[in-house]
Amino acid sequence: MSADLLAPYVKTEDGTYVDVAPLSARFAGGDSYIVLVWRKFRHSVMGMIGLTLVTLLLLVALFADFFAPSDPREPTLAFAPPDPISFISKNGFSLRPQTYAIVEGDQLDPVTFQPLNGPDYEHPRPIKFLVPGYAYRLLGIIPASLHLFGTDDGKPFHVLGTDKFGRDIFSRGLIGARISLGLALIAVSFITIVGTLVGLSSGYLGGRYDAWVQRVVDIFFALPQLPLYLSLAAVIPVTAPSEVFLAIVVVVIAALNWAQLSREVRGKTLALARIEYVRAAQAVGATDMRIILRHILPNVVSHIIVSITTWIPQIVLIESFLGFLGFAVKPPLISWGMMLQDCGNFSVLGSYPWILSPVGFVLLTVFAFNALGDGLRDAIDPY
Amino acid sequence: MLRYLAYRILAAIPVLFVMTLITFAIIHSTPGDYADYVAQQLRVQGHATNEAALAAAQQFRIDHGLNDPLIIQYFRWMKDVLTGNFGTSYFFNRPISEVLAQRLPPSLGLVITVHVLGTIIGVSLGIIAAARQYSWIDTLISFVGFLGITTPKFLFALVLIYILAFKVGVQELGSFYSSYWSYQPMSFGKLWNLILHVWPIILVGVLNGISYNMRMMRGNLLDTLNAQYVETARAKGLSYGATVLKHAVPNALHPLAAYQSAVMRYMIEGEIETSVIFGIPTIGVAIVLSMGIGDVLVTATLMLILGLVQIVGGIVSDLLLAWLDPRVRLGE
Repeated sequence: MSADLLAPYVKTEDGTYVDVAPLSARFAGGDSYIVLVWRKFRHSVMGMIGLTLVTLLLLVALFADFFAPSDPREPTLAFAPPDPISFISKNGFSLRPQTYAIVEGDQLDPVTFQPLNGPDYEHPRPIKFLVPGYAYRLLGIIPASLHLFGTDDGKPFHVLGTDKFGRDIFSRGLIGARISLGLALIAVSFITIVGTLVGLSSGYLGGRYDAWVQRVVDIFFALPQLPLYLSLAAVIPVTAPSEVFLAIVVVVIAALNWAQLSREVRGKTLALARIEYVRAAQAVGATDMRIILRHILPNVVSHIIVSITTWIPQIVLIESFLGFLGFAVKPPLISWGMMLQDCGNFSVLGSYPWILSPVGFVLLTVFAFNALGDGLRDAIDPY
Repeated sequence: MLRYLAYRILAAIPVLFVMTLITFAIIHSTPGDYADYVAQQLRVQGHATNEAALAAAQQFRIDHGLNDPLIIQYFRWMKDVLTGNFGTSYFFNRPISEVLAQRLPPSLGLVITVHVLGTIIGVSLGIIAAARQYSWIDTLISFVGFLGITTPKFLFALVLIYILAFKVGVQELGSFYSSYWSYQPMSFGKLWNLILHVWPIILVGVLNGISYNMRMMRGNLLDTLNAQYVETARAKGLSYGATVLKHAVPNALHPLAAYQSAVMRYMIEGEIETSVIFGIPTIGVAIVLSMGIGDVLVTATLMLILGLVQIVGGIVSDLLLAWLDPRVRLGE
């Protein structure tokens, strides 16, 4: 009974919820805030599209090997175009799509004397779900060889063609999601932790501490970011193992981006520190730690969550640009930026346009997180 | 006002000083220097023996003081900065001020063109969208704006280059002028040739600029349109169009001015990204090039200039805010 009185809405006989006491929602604890946000968020079409896509992306990144039809590290025919897929084969129409492997032909191009590649129409390969393929370890532990889709002859199936070493672009894109998204998530965690701590302390304590911290933030703001990424990435020794290389890139990205978030958090904290309930808490002798953690942080968290959703796509983009210039990730690892590296060469791009397809992965990610962020921004203030 | 301006400029000096120290240290911590590049060129192009190439590199280091402690190199460069010629570029083999004079105007020209176009078109679209909220035109503009904001400049540039070069067959890529016009005096023909070359770069930047300004303007204007004075203006019989343009828009411009400082940084980085992709000789390409071969003073100078432009952008934004908003102006 008492829980019902406290809740901001009650259920009526016909199953709808009626908002009986909007103000009480503020005092009803964290759970109902989330319910309120969700109720508002549910109605934003863009937000829901974003949420679905982000969930899918994270699932794909986690179980990339399961979704990948071919071994991302196995070299086959270089720069092969995507395998054609059709519903019509020699035997007439069938509902099961057939694909034809691209093979090196006997004929030579009369101008370049390169072997002419083309689809092998003699051997249609039916595309099936849940087929055995190359062996991998699910989540890095469970040995498995089952794949979501592919051809049942166990040979590679190139949905988006192959790159310059003949590796499957589609599978590489799926595996690359791990590094690209993982790098963004880790960097964003650093940014959030440092930005929030600095912003909260600077905004709450104020005075000389605040003045000094803000000068440091000013300097970080004046640093030209893009060129600094390049030079910092060049500082990393060429001989460093790829994991160390990646870790340094994460630290560099985090180091150059915390200032923005800290300034936003500081602005919010400055405003909150003057509000009556904070003053009241100070008056009854609550410690600074308690005021920051119990009274200020909960009010800033929603803002931080929204900025996280907008930071992730930005870091994915930074990674892809650095990768494009050859600075972000080293070969044994796969990332979207690294896959774009060959696109800088116009003649390669003109002859083999399918190497541009990692752009699609990046665009999808950026779109998904931005749509999610947009929906959340409208929903975080449901009162 | 003047006191405030003077304060802002004075406060910028230590920030710039520390910034140059940091960037200088970072640039110099990269392995290898320009002497290594000299040695490599001698080996590859001059067919020098390894010993001769290394000896020449050593001589180059002594001649240009590359063996001196970092702090001495820094103050030597600082002295050059204060005298206004920023030192000598090893690669271009002339004062960096000349390199700047050649590269900075086109860069700034591009950035400013993109910024002005993006602001004017974006703000107008934002006003249209907000004034007709929930109509099909608002939905359309908002959707295009969302696409524009999510489309990364450098990927858009990459795809645009592919389409222009290989599908449409555009020849005017990778430079400012065709070779015929390069050494002609300025004329309408040359201007048209310039436009033919730079419109894809401007398009990439403007699409993003429009989207940012549009979304910001739409949001602000929707907030102001809910204010009571707007309702009062309507109640006393002012037409809807006049109410929006005379009462709501001036009040909605305020956050837009505050955001100009962020724009500057955003525009410059966008310019670097797009020029690198399009291969246009501007600041962006010069930074990437000089960094690759260890022409450190050029890199350091360009970073100093970019930092300076950002700080100036911040000050201009604050002045604009004061000019637009009497509350800020008189509150001081």
